[in-house]
Parts: sequence; structure tokens; C-alpha cells
Amino acid sequence: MGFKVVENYRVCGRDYLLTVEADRETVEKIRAGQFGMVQVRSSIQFDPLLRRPLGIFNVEGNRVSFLYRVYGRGTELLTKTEAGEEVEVLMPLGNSIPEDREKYLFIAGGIGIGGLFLAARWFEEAGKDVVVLYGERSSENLSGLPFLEKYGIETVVYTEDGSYGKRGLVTKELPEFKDYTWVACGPTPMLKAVKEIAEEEKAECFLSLDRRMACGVGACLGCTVKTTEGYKRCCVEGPIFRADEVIF
Amino acid sequence: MLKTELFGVEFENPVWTASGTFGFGLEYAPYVDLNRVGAVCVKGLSIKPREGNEPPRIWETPCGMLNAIGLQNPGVEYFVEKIVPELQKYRCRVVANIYGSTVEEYAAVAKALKGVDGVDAIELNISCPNVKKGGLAFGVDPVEAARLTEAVKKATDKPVIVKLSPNVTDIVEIAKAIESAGADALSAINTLLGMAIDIRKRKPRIKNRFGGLSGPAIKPVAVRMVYQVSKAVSIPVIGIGGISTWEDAVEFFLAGASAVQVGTANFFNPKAVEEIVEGLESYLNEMGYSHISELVGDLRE
Repeated sequence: MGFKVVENYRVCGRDYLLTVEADRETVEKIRAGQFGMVQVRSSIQFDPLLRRPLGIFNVEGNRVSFLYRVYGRGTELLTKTEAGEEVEVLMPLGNSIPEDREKYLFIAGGIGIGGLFLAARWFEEAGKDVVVLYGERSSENLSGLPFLEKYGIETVVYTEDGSYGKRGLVTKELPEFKDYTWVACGPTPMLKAVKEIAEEEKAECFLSLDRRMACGVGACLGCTVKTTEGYKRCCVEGPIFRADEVIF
Repeated sequence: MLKTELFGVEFENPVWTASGTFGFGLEYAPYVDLNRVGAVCVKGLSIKPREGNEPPRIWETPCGMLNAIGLQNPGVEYFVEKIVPELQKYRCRVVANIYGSTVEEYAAVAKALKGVDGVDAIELNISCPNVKKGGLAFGVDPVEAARLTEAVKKATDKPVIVKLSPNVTDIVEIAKAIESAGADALSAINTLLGMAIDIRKRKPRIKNRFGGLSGPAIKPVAVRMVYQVSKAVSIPVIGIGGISTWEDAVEFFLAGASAVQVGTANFFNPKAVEEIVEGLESYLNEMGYSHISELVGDLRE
């Protein structure tokens, strides 16, 4: 569906926030952890061909936001989209983060915060115990921080260069939260480490995975994730997987 | 105006979805009116379930994409029992795309579909570039292709469409051999074999090394091949290859296609088929055609 762009601005570093005005029906379907397939080009051209899967970062009224990092031609082109234009977005897609636990630890690596923030916000608002561990290389890329602060979500920041928060990796204090349900989103080495620590600590753990996708609805079978139960489609059986079923 | 009869089956319109790009159709049901789709060519079915290739399986290329899914599917039995009854709730026709690694396997899949209500035709995939055995091996050799076509025709009561590979020296020779073997129709083209490389890792982008190239990038190749094949055979040719807009579809009809399949476009525009159906109707009106069949091969040379 075509949605009108409300804003599309650089938050910091290479990270941008795209907000579209969606309709009530679409917004009511959104669960925490889902994503949208966002068209990054105008509809009169065919390059780049495919839409990009972006985590649904925030919902306010009928406004739906995506926090994205510029990695290649597609996301670069998306930054050129201006307020007032229409973008095609298919959403919400994928499964969602289980909502019935009481204590959640969200572990975000870099732009991985884009896939976790909404869950942290909604679960916090539902009165659950929510902590966000947010890791980055350095302070200039902490694009999720202003939003975490705005909504008053308890956050511990880790930077690899020590330029903000604690110095080190986001995984370094994980064992302290072993009685929480962990939900992690970030680069593969981080997810792998989180999975291993969760197994050692016997903590319940979910991973939000990101794969190259063509359709986003389960048809193309391109976004396969290797699991203990065979191949699964990241777009429909995911993006949220139990950590113990994912094979890296 | 768009109602089309091919090999004794009536289609609401001649705009279908291509195998492998639309799942079993049901995946798209929340986004697409399946009653507006002429036919759904389902993901390639084999006699036993197939896991498919190791990821990564897809890579975007200029105006196109590479894929090497490896014919992942739940097997023909599951399809007949669980999926066909669901698809029967819609008006779209169902074309079962089938695959085997030997002639016997193809025939076994065809046999499993014999007499199954709700399956309107069979499409033989003899052109998949992404599996080691079978598939493409049958599609590049006129003798093998004909032998397979005959065997499948014997095994089934359904009309048989054979899907041609573009990865050959002379597509016309193969098309003619398949026609003589008794095929009811041809569809063309499957993907073009391609490759992309990650220059930092110095590795292929796709685990399978090669993948099938699809999307708008291959359209001119497809139009040319549909033109050549439809001139050479008297059975219907179904055009496939990069069709993304109604204008693209018109090109294929003019080149000689009796119907078209929309593939990769479904991924980036789930409404592609519906838009093409609407666009075709207004084009026919505007150009003074009273029926789509008048457009087939109506190329001024």
C-alpha cells in the first residue's frame, strides 16, 4: 500500500528515521517485533528492484516509523525520499515477540535497536519489567538513544571505544539478567554470542533475525534460516526465533 | 474480453503467476484478489519433499535478481491433500509445476496429480538451473526433452505445458521436439543462469555459486525467444520473463504469447497481476481490439 511520508531525516551517523502516515486498520494489526517491506525507489523505475525489510520501530497514532541504517544502494536511495511523497510499504509482516512474560531484557547491537524499541516501549507501558542493553561502536551511532530516553525506558549503553556509557560489548554483563526473557537483535557475531551465553545461563532467549528478502510473505523461499527443525522462512516463521533452534 | 481458452481449459484472463514467485498462491491471498488471477502456477512439486539449497539463496542485481532456491517444496502428496482444497475456494485456475530428477520421477508426480479436481494443468519444469540432477538436463537436449514429455503425457490426464530454458543454443529446435512429443503448450522462459560475486569476501553471493536471473533485466531476451518459438510451433506459447507492467505484457502478446506469467514482479509489487489485467483491458479498448486473442502475434513487421 502507498503511504504518505511524514518525515525522513538523519538521526545521527548513518541512521535515518522514516515515518509514514498509515491507516487505522494497518496500525491495529501491528505486534511488537514485526517488520514492513519498504519500497526504496520511485514506482516508475525498476532499480533497485526489491523492497527492503525494515523493522517497525515505533507507532504513534497512525504514524509508523522505521529506523534504518544506510548500508547500500537501496537504503541510500531511501534517504532521498521526502515528506509528502508516497512510499509503498507492505506491513505488518512476520511473527512477533511473545507478550506474556513479565521481565524482558532487550539486547540491541547497533541498528538492531530498530527491531526492538517498539517491544521495549509497549511492554514497559504494559507495566512489565523492561531493561534495554544497547551496544554500539561509538557514541555517534546511538540513533535509538533519544527515543529510549523520551519514553523513559531503562537503558544501559555500551560502546566499544568507551565514548558513551560503559566501555565494551553489549554482551558483557548478560549473566546478571538470567531471570529475564532475552530478546536480541543485531549483527550475527553478537547474536551468536548471546545464544551461547543464554544456553550457559539457561535464560529464555529469542533472536530477531535479518535476512535478504524478496517477497516478505513466504512465497519466494529466499530468506531461509537454518534451524534445528530444518529450513524456516525468516519472513513468516520469523523474524523472531527461539535462540536454541537457530543454527549459525 | 480477456477470457482465454487454452488446451480445453477456460481461464478468466490470460495473466498468470509464474512458478516459484507466488508460493502456492495462498501466501498472497491477504494482499491479492486471487479471483483476479488467471492461473496460479505453483512452486515446483517433486515426488518427495525437498529441503532446497543452503542459504544465501537470493541476490539483487541491476533491474533483476538471482535465485537458487533449489526447488524447496513439501512434496506432491501434501500439495494434493492440504493445498488444492484451499485453492479451490478461489476462481483462479491452478497449474501444477512439477519436477523430477529422472523421467520416472516426473511421471510419478504427474500420476499423483491424475484425476485431482482443482488441478487444471501440469507445467513441466525442465529448465531449473539450480538443482544438480534433472531439471535443466532435460531442457537443453531435444531428444531428452521429447522423451520426458511423452512419458509425462502418458502418465496424466491433464494438459501438459513444458517450460523452456533460455540457457540453450537453439530454443526453437527444443520447442519443436517437445511439440512433436505431444505437449499441449509451451511456456518460455525460465531464468537465465547467472552469477554475482562479493568482491570483499571474494566469494559468490549465492551459496550455490550460480543462480537464475529474473526480473525486468531479462525481458528483451524473453520477448525474442517467445517470438521465435511462437513462429515455429502451432501449440500455444505462454510468455514469461520480467513482466512487471501491462505494457510488458502487451509486448509478449504481440510477440506471439497466448497468455503470460508474472514472476519476480509479484515480489516488489503484489498488485502486479491485478494492475496488468486492468491495463490490458484498457489497452484493448483503446486500440480497438474486441478480444485479447486478436492481439496475439499481431506484430506489424
